[in-house]
Amino acid sequence: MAVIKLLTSDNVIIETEMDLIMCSGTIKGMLESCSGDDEIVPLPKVRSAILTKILQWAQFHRYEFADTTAEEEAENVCGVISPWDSDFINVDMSTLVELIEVANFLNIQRLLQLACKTAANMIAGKTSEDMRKILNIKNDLTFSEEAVMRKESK
Amino acid sequence: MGDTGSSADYQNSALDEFRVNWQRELQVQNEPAREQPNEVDEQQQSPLGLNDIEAQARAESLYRTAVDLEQRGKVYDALAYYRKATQIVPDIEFRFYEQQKLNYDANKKYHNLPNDFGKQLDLNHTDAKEDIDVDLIDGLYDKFQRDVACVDIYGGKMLLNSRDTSVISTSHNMHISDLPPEIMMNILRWVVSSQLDMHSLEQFAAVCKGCYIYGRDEELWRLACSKVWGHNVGTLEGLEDGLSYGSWRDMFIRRERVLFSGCYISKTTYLRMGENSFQDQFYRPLQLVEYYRYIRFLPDGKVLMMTSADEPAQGVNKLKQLYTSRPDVLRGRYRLFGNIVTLILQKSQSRPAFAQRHRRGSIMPGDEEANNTQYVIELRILNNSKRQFGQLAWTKYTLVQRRNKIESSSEFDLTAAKYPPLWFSPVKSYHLDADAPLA
Repeated sequence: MAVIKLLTSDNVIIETEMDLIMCSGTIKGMLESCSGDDEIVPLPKVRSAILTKILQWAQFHRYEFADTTAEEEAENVCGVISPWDSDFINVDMSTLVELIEVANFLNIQRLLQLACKTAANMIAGKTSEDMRKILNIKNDLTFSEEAVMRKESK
Repeated sequence: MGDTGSSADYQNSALDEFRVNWQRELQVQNEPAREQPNEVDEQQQSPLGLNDIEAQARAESLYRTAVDLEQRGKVYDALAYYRKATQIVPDIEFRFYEQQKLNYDANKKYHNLPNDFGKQLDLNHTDAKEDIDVDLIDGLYDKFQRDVACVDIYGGKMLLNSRDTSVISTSHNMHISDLPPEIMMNILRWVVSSQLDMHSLEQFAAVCKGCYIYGRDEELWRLACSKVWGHNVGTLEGLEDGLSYGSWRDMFIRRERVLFSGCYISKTTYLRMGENSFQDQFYRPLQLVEYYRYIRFLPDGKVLMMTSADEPAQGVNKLKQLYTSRPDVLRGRYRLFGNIVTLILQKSQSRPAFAQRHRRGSIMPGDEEANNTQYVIELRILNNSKRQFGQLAWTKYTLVQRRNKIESSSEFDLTAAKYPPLWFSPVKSYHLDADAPLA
């Protein structure tokens, strides 16, 4: 089986099987455009820790990728999150944000949707104040602005 | 007389001379001060050289950066700036304070507000206090966009991190503000989800300025509107009902619709004559019968109805399950036409496999069936004292039966006693985790 070398932002080379990383639209595109074998693919935006985690996810879902169309992909992200996935995605906010960003960069739609959905479930049904705590967002609103907002939402 | 007059003249001329001299002296003193752009410095009578002015301006900007940093929680960075500022102008703290006080006096409205970073921001952006409220109501969105564009504070991002990034010193710390806008919108589509949880979106919009901008995204609200009204959604000009809306959010809030976050309930009570007692011929028992009608609307056009003797506390739970059919729950679809909602309900199918196949797409489930019974209900959407669209009044109730390809319909007599209006009551447990993003 063909092996591919990936160079991460912290200068770690990770070797992985070719078909495993094909879930990434970005890498798939890169490999199609360049023909050289044994080349090292640089991923300057991805840390090795995150890449390892993503490969772990890809390994688990390995046989589900085969021959799915874009529409089926969209169907797949709906419905209940599987126990394995929910365990996988049970990470701190910083890691979750990083997973979202890297999944977006690598164009792994299913992982991206899984992570976005998880982030959404964390804040849905919460109050503004709770959302600030969960997402670590500073309140930059003045009293008068908050008052106007309350009036707007009535 | 003449003597005194001349001496007075002499005194006057001496006074004049002194006055001229004094004024000239003053002018010379003020000359360098006039070059200063700053009000505070003008008040100080001592002349300052050009270098001093520059130094002071530099110290002031250093000091201001330091204050900003400190208020963002970066104390150590701030200390370095404070130190540099005091090296240039030792009493910078007092001068800065004096200037702040002047600014505050000019804006009395903010005088009693706590000296918060956000409030200072407000000061910088709005000059005349009379304009503020009008300005805010008309354009919170525009104002926030201007505020967030301020690179010094937001650094090109939409949200501020409440955590002190210098204290938590793990090498890699990502914040939600690092995500690109299209990903934020994707997350919000999941927040709203196919269940149209606009309440959560509104809460999100109230988190901060950047969140407000995300939360008022017209596309999100347009999608929500087209989910609620389907093909009848129309345009913002609202040609059908003659109303026009300022935005899709405005339409979602004002246009008549049903509420999704709970259940409409009515209680019907009637008296029933009981059987004569065997022992006592003259005793005729009267029975008080109470039952409830429950209607739950779902954002995807489905509706559930149930009539039951259960009290609401138990009754609402029977409508919780969306996909497993119960024999006592009628299922169907609804549509909104102006302030009328029309429901078409089907008598429950006893064959689950059949129902399964028709879960998606079919407008009238089981319409190929030779024999079936349909309930067609029309309800008028009303506001009640508690909430908008909180009440549904009966306008029509028809039973359509089809047997051996012959259709017969009969209308129910909608007496107020038997068909009282349904009142909305929110049900918390109806909120589920998102199953699909808003699309």
